Amino acid sequence: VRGRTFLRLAVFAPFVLSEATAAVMWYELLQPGGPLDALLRALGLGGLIHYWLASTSLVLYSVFVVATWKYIGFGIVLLLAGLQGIPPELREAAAIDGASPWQVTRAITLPSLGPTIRIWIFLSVIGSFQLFDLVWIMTLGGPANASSTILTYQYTTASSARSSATAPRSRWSCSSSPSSSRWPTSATRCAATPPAP
Amino acid sequence: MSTASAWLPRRSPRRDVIRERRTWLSLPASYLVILLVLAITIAPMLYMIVGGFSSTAQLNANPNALPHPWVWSNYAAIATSSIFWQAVANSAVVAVVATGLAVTLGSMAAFALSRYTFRGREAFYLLFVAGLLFPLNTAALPLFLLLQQIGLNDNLFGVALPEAAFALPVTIVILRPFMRAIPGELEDAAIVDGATRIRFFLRILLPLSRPALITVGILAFVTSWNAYLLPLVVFSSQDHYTLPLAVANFQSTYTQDTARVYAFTAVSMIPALAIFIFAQRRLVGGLVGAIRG
Repeated sequence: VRGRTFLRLAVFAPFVLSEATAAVMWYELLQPGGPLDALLRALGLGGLIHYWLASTSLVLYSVFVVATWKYIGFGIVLLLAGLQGIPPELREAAAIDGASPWQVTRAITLPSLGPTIRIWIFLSVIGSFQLFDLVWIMTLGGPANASSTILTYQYTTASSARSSATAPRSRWSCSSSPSSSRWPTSATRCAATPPAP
Repeated sequence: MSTASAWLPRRSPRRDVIRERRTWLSLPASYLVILLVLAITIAPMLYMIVGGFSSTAQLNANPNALPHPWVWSNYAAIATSSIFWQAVANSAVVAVVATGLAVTLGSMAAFALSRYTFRGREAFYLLFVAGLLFPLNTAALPLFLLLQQIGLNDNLFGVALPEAAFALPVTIVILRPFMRAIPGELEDAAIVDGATRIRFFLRILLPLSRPALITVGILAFVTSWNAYLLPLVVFSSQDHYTLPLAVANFQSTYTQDTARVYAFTAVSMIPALAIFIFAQRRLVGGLVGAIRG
């Protein structure tokens, strides 16, 4: 297959973006009436349109798809490295013994990839437990906590505990005057007075 | 042979003949799969870039039309805005300080842990390995309290120092085996020639470890460049925002001006993608190596 290097770059590119950038991007794409909805409508699949980020039953799956989009490139590269570690002789020997391509894949390639797949599952699980940036930017853990993760929960709990303990609540609202002791709550996510670009 | 194996470097033309015949996915079919994967990974990013050339009115009328006419003002506004350049500068300062510290301290620790024999060496090493299990994000809130006490809150160093500290485990875990593999005869020879251990470290070990140093350096740099939670907690004034923070903030500030948000998002991808293309081989190799090592 031609253009292998380019393909590899392309698949790995989402992994390199910061999670924040990816989150902002997908937040825009998934807006009601936004690009994705328009695309679905253009394809005649208008019936599939949902509130991707505003429905409590759907939001977690939206986050899941975005996280997969972001990290699958790394999984592919890992598997690639694993595939390159399988001596081609194994597959050739099986082929000579009359195994069909499907049998070769199932009996040789997949088992040899076992450790790589295990590591990838392991990393995905760990990474999912640490999910914050994506969720925070796209949904703030909402709606109604439907997409809150350990870290967003920690963050909201800490900031509300802190605001009730030390600071008058007004400080937290989207006030335009930043004070140094201000705990950065969702204030960073709500529009303060727009600074001149 | 799966589609993925179509990406393997070819070994020899003769072998290719055998492989090509043993595929259960025909060549056109694998091209189709590849195109599909490409569309899914690249399309959103391309959409952002092209969308940035539209005006918000155009986007509201039809989100999926090509810009007509192409508008440059969004990108021009960002290229001349202080928000973007300030954020890039902040990100760069934080990432450079964090990387410099992590590589300097990490190589020194890895040197001690690989070339000295002392009681409790393995225990120290395990301590660093255990650091891998403790990600920066989970520590962000306690760190915030600590930084507030030592007055580093809302300070670029308040982010750079913890990032360096949390980059140390990976650095050491990658560097130690590498330094260990450098033959002891080299050290003996250097010492016979009258070099001190420090001199051996600076003049021989470090130059020999360059590939590994570059790898850990890139890893630390990229991690720091992409960090969001710690900067979010530590920085309260917008002058200090790093690029990820600036992007998120820009998006929530200009919610209504979609085209401008697209343009800003597209532009903010450039540094990361540039680093990636520049360091592709090392980055991918380093990540995969770090996982398997």
